[in-house]
Amino acid sequence: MTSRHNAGARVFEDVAATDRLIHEPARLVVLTALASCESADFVFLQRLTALQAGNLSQHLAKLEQAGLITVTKGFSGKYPQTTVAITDDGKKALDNHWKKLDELRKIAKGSSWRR
Amino acid sequence: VRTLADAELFTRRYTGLRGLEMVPVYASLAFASFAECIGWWREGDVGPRSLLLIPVVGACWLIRRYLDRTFGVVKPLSAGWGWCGIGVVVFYVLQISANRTGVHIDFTGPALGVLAATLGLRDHAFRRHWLIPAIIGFLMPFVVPYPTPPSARSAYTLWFGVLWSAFTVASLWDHLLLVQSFSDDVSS
Repeated sequence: MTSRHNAGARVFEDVAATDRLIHEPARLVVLTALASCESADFVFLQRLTALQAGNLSQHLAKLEQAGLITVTKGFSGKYPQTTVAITDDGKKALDNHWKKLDELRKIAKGSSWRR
Repeated sequence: VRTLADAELFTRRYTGLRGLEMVPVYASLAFASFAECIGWWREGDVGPRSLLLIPVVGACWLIRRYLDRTFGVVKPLSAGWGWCGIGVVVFYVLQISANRTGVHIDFTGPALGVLAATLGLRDHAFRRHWLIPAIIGFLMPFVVPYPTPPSARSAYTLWFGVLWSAFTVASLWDHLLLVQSFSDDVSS
């Protein structure tokens, strides 16, 4: 019982230690999408995530503050265009996040307390 | 999007799904071919073809603006221009070699067929509707003789009309997939 409890606690601690900045669903979608292109604009990300503009802006601001993405504001003709791209640090952080989740999955699968 | 995999896949596919951008170009080429086939325009008649360019360029600009503002802009990791360049060089090398060695094959149809087949087969054949213009392109050397005699000129232009029409329909189909992808995501 104690070993089962310890294993469960360790997995819980590991899950709690995952990067919450990246793990939040909307931010994870944004980073995943940006990792598969050179850059994308705000309109595309909004269509992709189906988030409100203000909500998406907040998520992008958090990711930009952490240095995971770069946000460039410019104009396409008369219309403003916000272009977002993932940084090298962002790519590394995303890769590490997936590795960590994979490891957690392996631990959870192999743990003795699993039925 | 429904899953993270969807987000990744859709972002990669998005640029290819902006087929509506090319519809005016393909439709104008189809129109010009049919116009020549039925005798409206003569072979090498530059005047009406140049006039056609104005609405085509205007329509392309408007469609591009509509797509940018409605669905957004994505810059892909690789636009594939390098492969396009290699394809053009290979096409000219094959055509010139065939002409010099007396092999009477026009590689224009098969080259367009290869282009359409590439679009149709890449990414797990997601846009497999492009295989129809690919087949039409590949069949061209078997249908139209080369060098084309004056008697077969209308068959030659008709085949090109059909080929460009197939390109137009395939591009419209791309747009349908794009709209469906977004509407699926919103409803889920």
